[in-house]
Amino acid sequence: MRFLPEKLLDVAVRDGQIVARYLTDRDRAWIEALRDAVEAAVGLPRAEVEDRLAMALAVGGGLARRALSAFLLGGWYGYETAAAVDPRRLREVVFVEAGRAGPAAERRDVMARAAASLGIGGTDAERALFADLPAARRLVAEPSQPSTPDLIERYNLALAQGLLLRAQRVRVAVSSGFKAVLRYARLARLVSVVEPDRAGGGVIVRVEGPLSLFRVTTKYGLALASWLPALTRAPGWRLVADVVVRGRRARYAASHHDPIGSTHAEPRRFDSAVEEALFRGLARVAPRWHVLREADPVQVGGRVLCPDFTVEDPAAGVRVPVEVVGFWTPEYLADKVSVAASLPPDARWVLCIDEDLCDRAGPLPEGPVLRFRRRIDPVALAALLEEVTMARSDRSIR
Amino acid sequence: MPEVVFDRGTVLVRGGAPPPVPGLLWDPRVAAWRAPACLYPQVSGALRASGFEFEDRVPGPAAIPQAAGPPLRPYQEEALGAWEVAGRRGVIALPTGAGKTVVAIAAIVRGGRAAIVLVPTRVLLAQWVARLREALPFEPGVIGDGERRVEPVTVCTFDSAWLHMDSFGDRFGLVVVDEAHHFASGRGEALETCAAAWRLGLTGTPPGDDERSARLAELIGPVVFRMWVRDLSGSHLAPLRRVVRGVELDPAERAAYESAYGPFVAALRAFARTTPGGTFREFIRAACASEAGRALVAGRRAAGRVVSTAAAKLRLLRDLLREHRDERVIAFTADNAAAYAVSRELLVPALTCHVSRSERERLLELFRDGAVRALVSARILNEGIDVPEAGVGVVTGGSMGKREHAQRIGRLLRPLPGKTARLYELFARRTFEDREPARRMRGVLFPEE
Repeated sequence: MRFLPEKLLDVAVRDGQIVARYLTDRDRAWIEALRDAVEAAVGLPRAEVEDRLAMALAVGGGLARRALSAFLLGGWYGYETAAAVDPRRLREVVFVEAGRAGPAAERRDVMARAAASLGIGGTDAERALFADLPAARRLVAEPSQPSTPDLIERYNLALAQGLLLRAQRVRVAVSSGFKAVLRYARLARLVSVVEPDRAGGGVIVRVEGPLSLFRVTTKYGLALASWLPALTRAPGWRLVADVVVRGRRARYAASHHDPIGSTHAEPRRFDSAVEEALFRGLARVAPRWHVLREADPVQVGGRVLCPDFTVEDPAAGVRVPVEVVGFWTPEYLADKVSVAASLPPDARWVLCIDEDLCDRAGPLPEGPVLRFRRRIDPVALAALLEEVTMARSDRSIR
Repeated sequence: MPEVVFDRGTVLVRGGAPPPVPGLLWDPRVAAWRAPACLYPQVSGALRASGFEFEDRVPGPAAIPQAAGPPLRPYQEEALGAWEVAGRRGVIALPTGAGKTVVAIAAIVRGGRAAIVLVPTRVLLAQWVARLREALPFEPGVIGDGERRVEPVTVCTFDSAWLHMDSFGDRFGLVVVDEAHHFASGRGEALETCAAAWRLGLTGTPPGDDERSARLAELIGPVVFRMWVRDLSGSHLAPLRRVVRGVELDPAERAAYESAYGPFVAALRAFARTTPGGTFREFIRAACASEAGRALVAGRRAAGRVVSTAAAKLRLLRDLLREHRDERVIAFTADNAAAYAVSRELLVPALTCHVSRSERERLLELFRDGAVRALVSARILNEGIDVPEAGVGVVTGGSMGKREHAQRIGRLLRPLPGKTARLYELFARRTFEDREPARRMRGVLFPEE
């Protein structure tokens, strides 16, 4: 179970706000008691496991207990068929035998003949006949089990994801690392829009889908839920979502203060081989430039631009944002260059374009654009950086 | 030059300002104009008509290799003709057993354009793939039930279409929607993100109310052809004889029934007195708010189990199997538990959602061959499984609506020479089932007046 289903979402709705009841260390005692009860049920048929757990859960009651028990069973346990003979094979033999004997035949004679033809006893045959039905299969445990704190974090994440599964749109903010957040959103085929955060001074990213322009839809819930761990990895993250839960629309807010884990690995230091090679090369050929990974977003008019990194000459106090453009068209590039050109002279930035990722050929716009194939030449970049910063000092002399 | 491209279930106009066209909106998120993919034919047509020059980069449907279409009966030909005259958009309503699939295959073959068929269940997915494989000179694609292979003619479940149509909705010229009434409410995104201009809906039971009909018309098209069971019964559908048989609960069952159902019905009556105009649904919702109320609802469920697995029904079913020993019988139960009770006791295969696709196909094969003469199922046979050999149905329970009942009857009506379909409806006397048989039949065979 990756995400909690709607009926297991332990939430309350007050004044249009969703209050999610996350588990914390304070719940540890009952969680461990529940885990012991599950462990003791290993080997029992599912129907009996469920009866036993229903009783164990009835003592404490509460949706959290039922939800956690389902989450634990779904993630770290499974059910297996235990039978003297493959039930499906037995059934076919039995049904065909019954068909041959006709509806007037005695049941026990049919069963006995079928069992004999498979070389098993009558009792074994009765037991095996439907031993593969969900209720009859037996509980088995995965060899590796999570620690209780780990389980709690993953449960809380699954609860948040269960809510996003029903989300219509999401707005997020992070204090740093949002390039990765946007990249994962793109991978999930979502549309993200970066907007200035008038209250906080930073930026807000609105995440939704292409169809969201026309209608309110929960179609992108699965993509949003899958993308959430990319957000919860980012430092200082905040999220507000419009969620349809139990037939009503309500607002769900969460942040890095909530005890939500992340299943993603730490974001890699470098996103691509292109950038990594560039960083090493630049350090070798032009050591005065330092590379800052988490570049600040830049506001131009109503739009916000996100450079991939910023190069800095700490001695001269100069910073140049650099964007490595992925897939592009001449129009797209012209738009980018015109936006960059409207920046104040001391905030000019550099675009690097991969010639192999061109949608189709066309005239390239004038401007600080570095073309490359597969690998960015650090010498060429250093030269362009000099050119851009020199233009600035020329201008300041004038 | 401005261009029109398919973008994740929508179409984008970028690189130039188009004239105002209905459905096309400015999308500030990407600085371009956008419309849902389902409006692509209208939007591109309107742009062309206005003289706006653009490069159309929506790939559009591939042509499919020519094939001889299946032979059609006169009313099937008429239905297909009505749909073609309506501009290849619309819903064909034919009773179950009248051969909707054949009409759709003929529409695909005659259209000659890549087509996608949407189906509600995995069972229907397998069945459509088998039918298309017989009819087409190439392999159909499958999306759903763990498979994902897009081909010029592809069958896809509703669930997969909801999630993935936005990644391949530009490749088809025709979308066929089986059991199209499902789209009359909710989850229309699967059809909105598809660019296909031609749309064919199939259903045995189109929605009756205006709102749902309008939604279906918007997504697929209006009902362009409709026939009732009585129009076809005896000619293209087997004639039907219906027998209703009541049984008594055993004393122990009666006691269990009364103790479980009595408090529920008493509370329901009290609710009706104190809440004039209150609906059954409101009662259930109110009951579920308290521990005592939940116990009442659980009692109603327990009473339902007693009735659906009544020993007398099982005995009568056994007698009917003996009486119809030379015919193929399908028993319909209220739920899976009752189906398995029949299966274990009478050694008749149960078809439920727990049966794998390969086992299901094997069991249906044994049934068609006659090696197995009866099947029992709660719901899985309701929609669209082909078992023309089945001529006798026994309904042992199920309080579902008219639509499900019509679909169950439809299983029995596939015509074979000399066949008369028989339907036995079993109910437990002096229980809530008393009124079921009469309620089910209204509006099934004939228009509801």
